[in-house]
Amino acid sequence: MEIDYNTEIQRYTSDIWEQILGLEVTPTQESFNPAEKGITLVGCVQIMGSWEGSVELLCPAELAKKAASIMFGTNMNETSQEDIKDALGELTNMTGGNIKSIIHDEDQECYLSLPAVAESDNQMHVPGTREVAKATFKHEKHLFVVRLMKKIDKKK
Amino acid sequence: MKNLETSIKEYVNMVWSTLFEQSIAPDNSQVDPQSHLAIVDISGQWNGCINIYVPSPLASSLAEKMFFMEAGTSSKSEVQDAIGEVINMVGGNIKAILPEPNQLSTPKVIWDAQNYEWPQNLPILASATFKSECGHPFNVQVRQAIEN
Repeated sequence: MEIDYNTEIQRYTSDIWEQILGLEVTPTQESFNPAEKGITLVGCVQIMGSWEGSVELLCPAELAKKAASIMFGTNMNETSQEDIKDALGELTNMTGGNIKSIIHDEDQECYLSLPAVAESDNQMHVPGTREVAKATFKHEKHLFVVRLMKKIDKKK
Repeated sequence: MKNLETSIKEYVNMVWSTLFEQSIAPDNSQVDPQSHLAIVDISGQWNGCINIYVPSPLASSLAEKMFFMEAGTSSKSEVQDAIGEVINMVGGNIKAILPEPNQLSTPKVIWDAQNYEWPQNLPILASATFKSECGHPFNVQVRQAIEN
């Protein structure tokens, strides 16, 4: 059965942000341009095994800070850079874990890497992959993006 | 398991000689902080990653050698592809000596390594620095994930 990755990403992302953080996020057709939005963080988890690729979460630093303060129960002013990166890594990990669960073969397990978090989309790149799904979300004034990248099969 | 640092040296030497037909030597110099970072993750019976810090001029020259280009003509994307391929080959060899079953990820490249902070639960298990033929030191590390 063909998987509608966009629908699944929208479902999982909305569920995670609401259940873990209590934040309402809604899919939007608005486009997210990291260059216009100040500092953007990107979280990335790799999927390996019968399906190879990565899940990336691009999020403005300000929204990541809000998520971290809720996740770790800290005041926004006291939230450290480390907390912010940990929170974004955890959100990426949960998103990737859910996506992994729908793409793995029954015969062969998929594995998820530890999350990596870097500043700005420009800094982290996964060569040899192509985008297979991308969904943009809105929370209050903030936009963020979840995208699924798949390894290009060079044999084809 | 063979001494990991010895294995790193062996595999990196092999990759350099087969891919670039260049010799490299062990070195103790500091790697230029203005480097690019390429990482492959390993998950399964062993969890962690293999990574390489490559100074920008060396990364460009490797891309030009790999893609048969004139000096000074490689693009950012070609440099990302080249150092991704290098760590993929090094990681693939190291993966084979780690506890199995395990899986190797596609590589990811972090352009500005200086501003990248490693998670605390991913400390260095083994590390080796080399000097390339053009004189630039580069560093290969194996990091093992600590269970929370």
